[in-house]
Amino acid sequence: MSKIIEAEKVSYIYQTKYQKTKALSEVSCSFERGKVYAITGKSGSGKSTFLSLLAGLDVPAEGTLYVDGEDMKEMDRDAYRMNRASVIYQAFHLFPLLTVQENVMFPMELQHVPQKEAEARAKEHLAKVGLPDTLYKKMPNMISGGEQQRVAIARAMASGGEILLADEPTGNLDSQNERVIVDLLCKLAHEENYAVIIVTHNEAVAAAADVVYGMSDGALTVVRE
Amino acid sequence: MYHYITKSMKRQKSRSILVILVNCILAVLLNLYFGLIGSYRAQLTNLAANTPIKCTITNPDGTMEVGIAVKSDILRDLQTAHQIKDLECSTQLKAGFGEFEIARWEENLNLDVSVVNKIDSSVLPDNIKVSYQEGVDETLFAGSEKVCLLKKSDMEEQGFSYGDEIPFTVYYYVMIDEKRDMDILELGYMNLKVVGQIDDSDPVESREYPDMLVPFQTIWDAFDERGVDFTAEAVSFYVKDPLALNAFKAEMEQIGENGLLEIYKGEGVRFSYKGTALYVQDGIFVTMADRLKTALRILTAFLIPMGILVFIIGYVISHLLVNGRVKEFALFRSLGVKQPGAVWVFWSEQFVLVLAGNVMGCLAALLIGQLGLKDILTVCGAAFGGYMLGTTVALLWLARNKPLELLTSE
Repeated sequence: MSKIIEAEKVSYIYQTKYQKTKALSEVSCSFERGKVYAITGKSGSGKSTFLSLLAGLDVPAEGTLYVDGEDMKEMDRDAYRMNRASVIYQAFHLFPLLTVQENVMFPMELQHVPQKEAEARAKEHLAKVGLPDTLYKKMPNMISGGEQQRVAIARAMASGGEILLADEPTGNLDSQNERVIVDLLCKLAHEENYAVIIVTHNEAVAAAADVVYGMSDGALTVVRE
Repeated sequence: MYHYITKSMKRQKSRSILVILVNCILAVLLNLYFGLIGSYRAQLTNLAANTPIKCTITNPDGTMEVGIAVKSDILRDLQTAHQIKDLECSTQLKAGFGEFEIARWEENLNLDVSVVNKIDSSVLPDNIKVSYQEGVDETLFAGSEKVCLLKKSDMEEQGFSYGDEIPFTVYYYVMIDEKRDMDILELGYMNLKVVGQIDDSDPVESREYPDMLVPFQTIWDAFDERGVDFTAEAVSFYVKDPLALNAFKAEMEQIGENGLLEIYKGEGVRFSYKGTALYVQDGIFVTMADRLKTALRILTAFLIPMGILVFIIGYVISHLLVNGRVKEFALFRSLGVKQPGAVWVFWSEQFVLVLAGNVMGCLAALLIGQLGLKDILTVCGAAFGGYMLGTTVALLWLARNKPLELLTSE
């Protein structure tokens, strides 16, 4: 399997007016397509910071992140997020003003996919994540948390990228929905060749991953490979 | 993006209506404010037109407006002054038909002559009509032609008709001491053509009026030709632009500094020269103009605070509205929308709503009718600009946050 993301001695410093805090310290690792990765650690250990760097929402203070061998600093990171990497959040973060289907269509609208095609593809993705079509026209606040997270995954798939970054994706879900979401993410990695990177402190989620990294005080270690 | 903006406006009706209403009210209030300023300005301009400031040359204590001696130097300066208009000058002479000696004045010197540059009610009573030879009108009094108007009865008695050149012997009055005792001196013999008549056939009023009218400049020239000092007995005029009263006063003082006017300030009297003074009847105008100017000053003092207020309202409302949508903004960024693009979505949504509010405000202002369309559009444009500036600052303030921080914050 080919490496899609590679981190090389990546460091990150949070800088406020009064102090500097090193959130990541020389983190080196790599991620391959078709695998599920879990990054575990306590709150404040630097997991989410690392995820934001992987998503291109920020840049490392030191070190380099490569995406398919290309330095992320040199890339258009907005285009990277629009076309190649999607982020799923603990709080789902669906657009509250758009229906379920419109939420999934939104990334395609940004990519200028024609309306009808976007609609068909959105329905396809929603079906893939197992959402009944009776919910497609509903607003996000009218469906359950598990269903909202499935919509978020469908939206991530709709962008057509191959990197799926999840920040505590089961944090707001009960155990039954947690299982469904984890299975869905694993299925996307193993059957559709996504590189799935999950930041979690949930052991059950970590257990489902192919590779587990541990993060402590900004340093990354391999827990299971 | 376009779909998102329209859906957002439609699906958040109450928020959209709030923004539209706030902007509509803001536009109407600003229109009322500027309407008030415009109304005060119009009142001030109209005040200048409707409350003319009359100035009269009087004796030093302001008790006499006629029978005073205004020197020709003063008259010349007033004729060329820039800050005055409608200068009216007159003087009185005595005359008789033909040539005669002063010793025989009792039988010959029987014509009261008014020398004027304009005929008004102070010269002739309203019921006394004046008629002119064909091709001549009252503008002749502004010139210096050797012409005259005679009483109809005198013309009939003497057998004169229009166009006749009549010989006259003219005498003038002169003040001989400070007690205003008068003497009468001979100016000389002159021919004047009759071009009009004073119809005295049916006098209703008992008020006396002259037997003869002669243009002011004609007589002044006659005095100059004979080397006799000319004086006017009554002089009045109007301030050209009452709103430029200070410029007028400066010009009058300048005439004073040239030695023609000796500045003297008494009650009701502003300037004087050797026995005469200039009485400026500006009391009513100044009082009313001062009131209007004070009101205008207070109103215009609020101009900058009003602009700042509109900006703050735009900022605060937009800040409150977008503060509830920070995650939406961060989600745009997370999905790959560039920062300016994400700001643009929110900005253009506000743009449409604020524009709608201002259009409604414009229509309401048109109905109120205090300002013209051009002014309403300018005011609404300013309101729109101020509000959108506040909105822009609020959105740029929002945009400085990192998307992940916004999305992971509670």
